This record gives sequence, C-alpha cells and structure tokens, in this order.
Amino acid sequence: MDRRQFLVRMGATSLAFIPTYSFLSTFPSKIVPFKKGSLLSSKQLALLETLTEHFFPTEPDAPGAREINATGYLAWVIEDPKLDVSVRTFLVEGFTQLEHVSRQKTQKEFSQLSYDEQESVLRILEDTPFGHRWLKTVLDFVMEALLSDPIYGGNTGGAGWKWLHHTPPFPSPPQNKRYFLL
Amino acid sequence: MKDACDVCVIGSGAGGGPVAFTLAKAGYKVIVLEKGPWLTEQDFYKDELACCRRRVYVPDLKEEPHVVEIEEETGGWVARSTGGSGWDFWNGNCVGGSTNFMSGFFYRLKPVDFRLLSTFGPIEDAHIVDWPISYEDLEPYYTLVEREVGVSGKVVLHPHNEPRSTPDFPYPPTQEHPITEDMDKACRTLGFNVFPTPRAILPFAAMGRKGCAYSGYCGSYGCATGAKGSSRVALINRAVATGHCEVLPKAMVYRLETGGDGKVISAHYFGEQGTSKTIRARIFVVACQAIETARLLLLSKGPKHPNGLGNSSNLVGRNLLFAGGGAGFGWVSFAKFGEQLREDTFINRTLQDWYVIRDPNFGQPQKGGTVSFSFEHPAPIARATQLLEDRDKKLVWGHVLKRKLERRFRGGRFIKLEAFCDWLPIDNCLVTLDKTIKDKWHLPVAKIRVAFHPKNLQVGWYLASHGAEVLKQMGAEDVIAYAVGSPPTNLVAGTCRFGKDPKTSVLDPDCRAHEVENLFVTDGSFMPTGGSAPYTWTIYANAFRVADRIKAQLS
Repeated sequence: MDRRQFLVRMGATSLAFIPTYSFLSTFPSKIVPFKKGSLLSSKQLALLETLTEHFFPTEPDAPGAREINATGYLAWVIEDPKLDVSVRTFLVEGFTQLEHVSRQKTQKEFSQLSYDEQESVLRILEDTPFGHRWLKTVLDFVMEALLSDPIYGGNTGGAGWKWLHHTPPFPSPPQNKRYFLL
Repeated sequence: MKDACDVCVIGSGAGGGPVAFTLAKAGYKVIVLEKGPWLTEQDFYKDELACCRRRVYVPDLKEEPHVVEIEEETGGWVARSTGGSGWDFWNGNCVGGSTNFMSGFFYRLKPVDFRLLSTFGPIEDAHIVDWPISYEDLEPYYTLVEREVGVSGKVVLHPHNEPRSTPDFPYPPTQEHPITEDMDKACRTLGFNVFPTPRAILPFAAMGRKGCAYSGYCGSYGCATGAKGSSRVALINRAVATGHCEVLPKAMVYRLETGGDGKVISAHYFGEQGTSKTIRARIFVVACQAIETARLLLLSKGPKHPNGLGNSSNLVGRNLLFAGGGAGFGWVSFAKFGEQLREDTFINRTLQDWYVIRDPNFGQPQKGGTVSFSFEHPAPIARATQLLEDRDKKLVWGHVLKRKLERRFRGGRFIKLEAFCDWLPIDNCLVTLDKTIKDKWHLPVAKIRVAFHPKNLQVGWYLASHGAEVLKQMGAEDVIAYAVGSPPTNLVAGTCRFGKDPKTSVLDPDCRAHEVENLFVTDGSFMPTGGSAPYTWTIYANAFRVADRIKAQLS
C-alpha cells in the first residue's frame, strides 16, 4: 500500500469511530486524524485538548486552540505516516509523563486541574530535559496549527493569518499537492 | 542506444544545467542523471510544511545522513550523524537542484578574487592560492548567464565595480520596496555606495517564463511562476527541448567505472525501483554539489585510481568552503514607517565598499566582502516558533505568547543584513568517507569535518558592524550585528580545487581531472577560494565556460 492509498483508506475506515470532539468536523477530507486502535486513546485526546487550550487560550479578539483546531491538527500530526517513528513515540510518551507528573503532584488527572494547577504541573514538567523538549515540540505544532495552510486542518478559515495580519501566502497548495503527496 | 551518449551529466543544478544546455544545443547526445524527482512549477506552492517543516525536497536524514565532525572545547573531534543532530547539508534533491530554492541574490566575483595570494600574500594556516584563470576569462560567461538564466539589476558605479563587457543588465531591477529610499538616504549620509542587488529573478515575463509575483517567499521555496532562474526552468527545460537531452530523475549515481587506461567508461546508478543500471558515455561531468561530488569520486575507486577517482594528489574532499561572514537585524515598526511597510516587494540593496578593506585600524589592506540587505523571510511558522523561549530558555505559552505574536507580526518587520567574506580553506574543513555510517543503498556517507579560520570572524564582524550602521542611521530599532562561525550549509564549494599543478590541485584549469581526460567537475567544487559573495552566478558562469571546453574536446 503506498502513502496515498494509506491516507485514503484511513479516511474511509475511520469515520465510524469519530468521537464527539468538535475539531474533527473541520479536518481536511480524506485525512481523518485517528481511528479505533490508533495511537491516541480518548483520554489522551482529552488531555491533548486541555493542553492546547492552556497553551493557546481563546480570547474575545484572538483565536485560541479551538478556533485554529489545534487538537485535531496535532492528532493528525501524530498519525501522519510521514512522521518519524521516534518523534511519534516521543510525542505519545509525553502524554504519559504529563499525566504522571499531574497525579504525582496533585493526585488528579491533568484535565481536572484548575488553570493555576495546570500551569504549576507544566512548569514542573518543563524543568526536566524530556519535559522541556516535549512541551517545546507540542508548542511548535500548535504554531503550525496557527499558521500553516488551512488545507492541513489547522488555521481554520485562515483565522491565524487574519489575527496576525499576515498576508496569506500565494499560491497555496491544492488538495493534490499537499506535502505528503509530492 | 538509450544507455549510451556523448556526455553524461550527473546532477542538474547550477553546475549541470549549463553543460547539458550548451552541449544539447550543439547537437550532442546528453543524458542527465538526477538523484531527485522532476518537480515543476505545478508542484511548487507557498507551503511552509512542504519546504521547511517536513523538508520534502531533500532526502530523509534517517535514510541518507551525513556525518558531521566538530571540535570539542577540550580539543578532540566528535562525529555525529545528521540523522537527529540538527545539521542538514542537503540543499534540494530534484531536477534543477538547489537552484530551485535559492534566493537568487546574484554577484559576480571580482578580479581580486582570482589572485588573492599574489595580492595580499599568504595567511597563516589557510591554503590561499591564485586561481589558474582570470576574471577576464570568466567575464564573457557571467554575461552569458545574465542573458540565458535571466539576471535583473542596474549598474551603479561604486569603488569596487567589476569590469563588464555590456553596459547594463538585460533585465531591469525587480520592484523595490518604498523603504529602500530610507536606506539609500542613510547610506548617502554615511558616505556608503549602496547599489541594487542583482537578482536571478525576471521582473516581467520573458523567455517563456512568467515574471515575479512578489510573494516574498524566494529562499527555500520553489518558484511557482518560473521567474526565478533555476537551472531547471532556465536551462534543463531548454536542453530537453532540443531533442538531444534526456533527463533521468530519481537516478542515484553510486560509482563511476574506469577502464584499463584510467578513463571513465560508465556511470552506475540506482533507479527508482532500486535496481542498478548503467550509462556509457564519451565524457562524464560530475556536478552533485561539493560534498556529494567529493563523495562520488572517493567511492569510485579503480585499478588506476586506488584512492578514488582523480585523487592521486589526495586532495579530493579537501579545502571545503562555505561562505564566511556575519549577520544582523533591525526592527522597523509600522508605527514609525507607515502601513506601506507591509508591501511585498524587495529591498535588494548591497554594499561592497569594503570588498578590500583599507582601514589602518584593521591592519594591513586585506580582503573584505559584501553586505546585503533584505526583509526577514516572511514564512510565518518560522517566525512564530522563534518566540517560544524567553532569554532564559524558559518556554512561553498562553496569553504571554499571544501578545508576543501580536507584537511580532502586527508591529513591524525585521530588516536582515548578511555579510559575506571568504571562508578561508583550512586543513580541518574537509570531506571524507565515513567508515561506519551507510545510507539506504549501503554506501558510506560523506563525513564533513567543519572548522573555520578565526579571520572569517574578524572580517565578518567588520562587515556586519558597518551594515548595522546603515540600519541605525535609517531609524531601525533593536539593531544587532554579529559574526558567524557556523557554516551556511546552503553555500558549499571547494573539495576539488582547480589549478595548474597536479600535485596541488584535483582539476586542471578547464575543470578536467588532471589524471582522467574524460572527467569534468562543474559544480562549486572547482573553487580554490570562494570569493566574498554568494557564488551561484560564478558556478553557472564557470559551467558554461567548461561546457565550451568539453565541446572543443568532443569535436
């Protein structure tokens, strides 16, 4: 199975397992981010959603993680067959680490913490070399969700570009010229 | 025969394109073997994920790494594979090579660049030599490149103008940003002789190509209009159109086979399916960029070439060059310079007042270089990710990050200065074959030992600090300038220096291997010194010059 077939098949077989996360509705056609048995569990997805919203909160005059579909974008990145296996493993391992630190310090899941408690846990995680690298990597991908071409599923409707007054680069890639199809 | 030709060209970038074009036009049967795919304007979009975040135009470093060897503070050398080290020396594997992704700032070298040793004398620990040809030998070919590749610009007299055989460029400058007026005024006040930077970019449609669309995304991105003078669009396409040139993409040459007389008889390559194939030719031209060219020659041992092809001098891979220099930035705010600052045209300004430095405070007269100005690249993700750590390396997120993003994107722009000086050739900057790491074809990868001469930093700092004066004078804020010791991996030359003496050079003055009469090298490998400006124009020009020599040899 080549890369194109793989992606098409992902899209064709995963619809039945889409949970209720709103970010999925804006995902590009034929690239649905995950399916049953995928790398991220529902709990991990919820954790990811909490994390991205902490990193990039919604504000009245500025889009947040929800408006740029950051969670959906990151879920897709983790599923991307082109992603180096070691990076995928690293990203998934980070969820375990974050949850571990959260339980160790607060006896609660990260998603159940107040904003201040989340901040405290994240800063504790940041103080470890692994944690710093992992959080930086997630932030990098949030910036991709904010400013990459909307065809990849983030930056919904160009919300990131509009907010930052960034002229949309032209020409932008059509569906059949997304980077993984070149 | 599909597997035989007059000339087999390995690599289709700035070194390969002129040879293929010239010889195909002359009616010779040419086959170009290109390691990468054949992408066209229909494949190039302003897609930051494609070009820069996922890097689809270069090999996967897990499959095709290099090994980089750098000196530790304790004095030893440590070698690491680029598969995970952060280094990447690939610059574009596709038809047209890295010229697809260049910014297209085009400079000729100057007469003094051809005789550094005789003009300034030796430099301790640097292998400075005069070139075996003069500027006058290359000048007609610089002019040819202006016409055939398409170079836009405007001749403005200044103390270091190189001689020209034509009064001006064949194409006028690309559109200039209004802020260039502020820069010109600042330079006049300082007594500096600023001039428009020549660009390998068509300002309007010509030669069957469209003009520039002024998206501002030149460097690292393929050009969607064909305005940028890549080897592919300017030369390879036209070579193919003659009916005498065939391009084989996804053909990875792994060995040049030699016969009993020492001449090359065939190129062996892996095709797309991984099967080994062979091309026979009368003449072979290697143009894979300096690092991979050296690697291919070192891999191509034969009975007459036990140390590698053309390597009886043991100089293949040595005297690796980059571009030395410095850099700097200045912030220009929309509040101060107005909303017109958002316009997506070019700054395109250069200073060469210090191409030779005659400053008693800086010592004896010596070689200096070039300072160029441009806007910071507009790629938004790259700009945003620069904000993710504060000065103490603590991560930044949440509302604080969002306010930083707003200031960075909505408050103004950075003007960037780049200073280019000679990267002095030294013993500890070279390419060899790594003894342990192999690529996906099980071939030893190139090991790149990187070190720099301290003079690179001194001259780089001198130039960058003068550039910073301009930014300050024009009212830019937060101006910084610095020298750079790290090699810019997109400007690579040396490794097969040309010269008259087979004991001290790999190639003869025609860029023919001293000991292999049907082997030529036409990328930047031939350069014994790199000059003090980006050298793509020089590679193009020299490849046209060598193509004429090959044509003479064939006839």
